[in-house]
Amino acid sequence: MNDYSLFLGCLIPFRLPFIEASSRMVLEALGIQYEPLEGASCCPDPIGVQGVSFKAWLYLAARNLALAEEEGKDILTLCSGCFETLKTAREILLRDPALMEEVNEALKRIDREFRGDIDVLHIVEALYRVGPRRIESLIVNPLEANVAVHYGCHLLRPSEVLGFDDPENPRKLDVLVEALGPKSLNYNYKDLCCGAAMNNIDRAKSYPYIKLKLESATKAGADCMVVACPFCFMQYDFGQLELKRKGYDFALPIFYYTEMLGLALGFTYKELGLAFHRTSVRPFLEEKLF
Amino acid sequence: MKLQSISSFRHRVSCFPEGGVSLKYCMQCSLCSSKCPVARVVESFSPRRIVCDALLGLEDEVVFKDGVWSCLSCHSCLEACPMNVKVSYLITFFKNLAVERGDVPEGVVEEVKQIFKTGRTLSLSSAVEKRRASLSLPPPPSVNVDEVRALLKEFVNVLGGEREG
Repeated sequence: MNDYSLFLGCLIPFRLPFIEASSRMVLEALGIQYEPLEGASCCPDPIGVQGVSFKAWLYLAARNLALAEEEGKDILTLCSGCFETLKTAREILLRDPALMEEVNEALKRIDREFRGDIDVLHIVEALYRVGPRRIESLIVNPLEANVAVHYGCHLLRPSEVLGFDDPENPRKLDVLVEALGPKSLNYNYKDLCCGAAMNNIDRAKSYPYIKLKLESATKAGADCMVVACPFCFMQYDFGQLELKRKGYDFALPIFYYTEMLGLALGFTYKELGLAFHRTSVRPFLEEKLF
Repeated sequence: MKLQSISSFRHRVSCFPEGGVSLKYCMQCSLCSSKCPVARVVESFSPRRIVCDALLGLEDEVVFKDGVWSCLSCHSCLEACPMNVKVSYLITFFKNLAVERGDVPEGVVEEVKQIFKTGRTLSLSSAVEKRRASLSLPPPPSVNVDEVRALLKEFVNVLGGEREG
């Protein structure tokens, strides 16, 4: 199946629309059909909302899944948080008939039903299925750079349910990055969480996670970092500004994967809205691409 | 009396649908703590100790706001556990219990209130609206908020941030 319900979530359309733009552009360039899912709510957030009430989290996720089932298409997410929520909620319900009955009893109030007959994919998985070789064959702007790939947490774990890649030694995103020309670096703390979950609790408490990551990537010789989640993106892109105020000076451009893919496919800095990044990618692109 | 409260707390944990029953398999090997990114940064945080306190039925120790809310839910602990204890989901359950006691960070309450109000965690600012237009993006899909509220009506006290007691 090559036709998806695009689940945009909250952070991308309402704060980081350039990630939505680059994602739409590359999907269209690769001939992947999609339609944004109408009527969907927050996925909801697998940390905050689940932490407040596991059941409320499950009910709301089930409604979003039911909406996509009515469309009859697999869900494609751009955010790893949405991916984890929708994929794990589906699995939890399918494994527990009593819980599924309870949730469907509640969904009846709004004339909906969860059946579990569609799957949930992250856009990185959808692109991997297109195939790194096919992507490589479409590149017009190969990029020479050393890239620190950051997978983040919610794309990989819990691996038994998400099934995206080996959680200890994931390769898919590295392979997709290298298909565009760069070299993916080994670096310390490659598997470190971005710390975004701390943001609505105590923002300053997430700085150590950002700092460790950026230090380690820079030390390994990274020219830029590639992420697969808008929360990780925001942590490292906007986080660099905040750390600067604390006296830590980093200048590491951060790309969401479809932005780097978009550049390689020939889309421009302007079309991709790269000027909206808080940490400038301009010097990097002038050196590497122009 | 004490023993009874231990078993009643452990029984409540075991009823949690995602991994509640896995608590009893913990053998305190500490692989969860060794893989925990929070433990790398926050010295006092230890998933192993949270699980240990739960095994001992020490509800007040377990459901301690600054403890459970430090967890990033990254699932590194769950992935590391050789006994398949779903540590991160146990901590989620302890967060749920903390919320029942009113021990919930303000930012989390705000996030959930926002979802109840608009169906989403964020709304569209005029600056982002302009950015979307400059990127030739259509308006974001709409949400049927009435449906969201009708579905979540039994959680209104928790989700509205109203506290018990």
